Amino acid sequence: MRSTVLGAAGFIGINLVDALVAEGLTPRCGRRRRTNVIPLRRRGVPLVEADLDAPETLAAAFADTDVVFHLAGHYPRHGRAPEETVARALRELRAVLDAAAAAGVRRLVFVSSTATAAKRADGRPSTEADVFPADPGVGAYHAAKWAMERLALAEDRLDVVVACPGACLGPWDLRVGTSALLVAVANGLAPPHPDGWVSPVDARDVGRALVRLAQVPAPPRRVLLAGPSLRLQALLERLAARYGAPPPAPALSAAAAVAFADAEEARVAGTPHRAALAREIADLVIHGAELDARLGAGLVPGGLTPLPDTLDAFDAFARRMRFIPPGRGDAAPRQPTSPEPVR
Amino acid sequence: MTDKLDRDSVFTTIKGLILQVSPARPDLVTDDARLREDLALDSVASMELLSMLDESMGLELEMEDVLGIETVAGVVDLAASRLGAGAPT
Repeated sequence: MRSTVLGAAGFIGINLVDALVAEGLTPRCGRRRRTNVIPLRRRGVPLVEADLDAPETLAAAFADTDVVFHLAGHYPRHGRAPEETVARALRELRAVLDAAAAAGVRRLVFVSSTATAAKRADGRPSTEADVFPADPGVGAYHAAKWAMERLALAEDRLDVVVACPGACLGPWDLRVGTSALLVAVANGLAPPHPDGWVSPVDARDVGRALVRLAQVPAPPRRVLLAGPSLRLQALLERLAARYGAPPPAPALSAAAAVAFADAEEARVAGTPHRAALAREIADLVIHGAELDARLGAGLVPGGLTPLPDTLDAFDAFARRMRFIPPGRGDAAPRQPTSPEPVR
Repeated sequence: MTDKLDRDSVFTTIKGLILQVSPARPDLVTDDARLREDLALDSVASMELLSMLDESMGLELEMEDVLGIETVAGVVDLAASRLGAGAPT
């Protein structure tokens, strides 16, 4: 299988590249001019320029490719101008779909988000069938993800599979995105947060599942890739206990969390600093659905990694990268884990 | 090539790379300048800078080498040590 990975240098991308290499496959890895490619260069995988704003680079990147993994869907870094955000997201995705179709790509695996999973009216966990019927109307991130998924699933020139990972944790979160709360707790901080359902998943499992989605003859059109859902407050309490940190502060109300995230966004706009709570993270937690992700779990050879093992892997990575300083919140030894039930 | 480089040469090369990713004026790119506070490089831009350095100078860096570097001097020292560059004579 000849593959090209867009977004190969990102968190999920590096884990996908590792999963492909473990299968004996050598992906062609797309990059923009300024992408941090140090991890990819150390892996010795071929790099190719692939700029979503320069379709001619996509044509070259997709030449002689069976499968394109598209992990570079637009990720809005702020909630301002949602209409512009959606327009950009769709423009870039159209460029990818057009280039893939023109190059004769057999299958495109598009990585979306569980942000598109809607809560069920009957209170039961949501499955692949539970999609927002229209723009969820809760922020730029959700709007962009929903619009991109709809466009991807409407594609009829090539085989398109949409994968929706939950809250990815594990090694190679170099930007400390979804792992920000873990790092904060491990460093003894009490990050402001809302409460709601979160569905952590090991990024290495996501990488392995994406490989399977590329390989199986008849994959599902849309699949959730997520571990068991739990409340964020419960997860933070578990992390605080693990690191011997003070218990987390009570969760903010949804309205207070959104107001705080918006204020933080305004505070850091135009600076190199990060918001203490990103708006899209607040929205993902507040509107997160409890998930029944058994379909996706079945794609991971050997089953999903238990959450404690994922946290161990992230802890080791974070200490190696000095996100968690030596001696800070050294984790207490934990009991060996048994596989967690998958729902 | 390595033997011919001194630290000043490495600094000049790195200053040119910084000016590709930072909105800062050239005179602000000094040894003591902090990447985030003085040159407005967030963590992503800092990693991009060090990746450009890795490729352009063939440093073979690992991420562990580059995370946590906070100043221009830190970048220059890292590159100079990898290249075996010494002080100008």
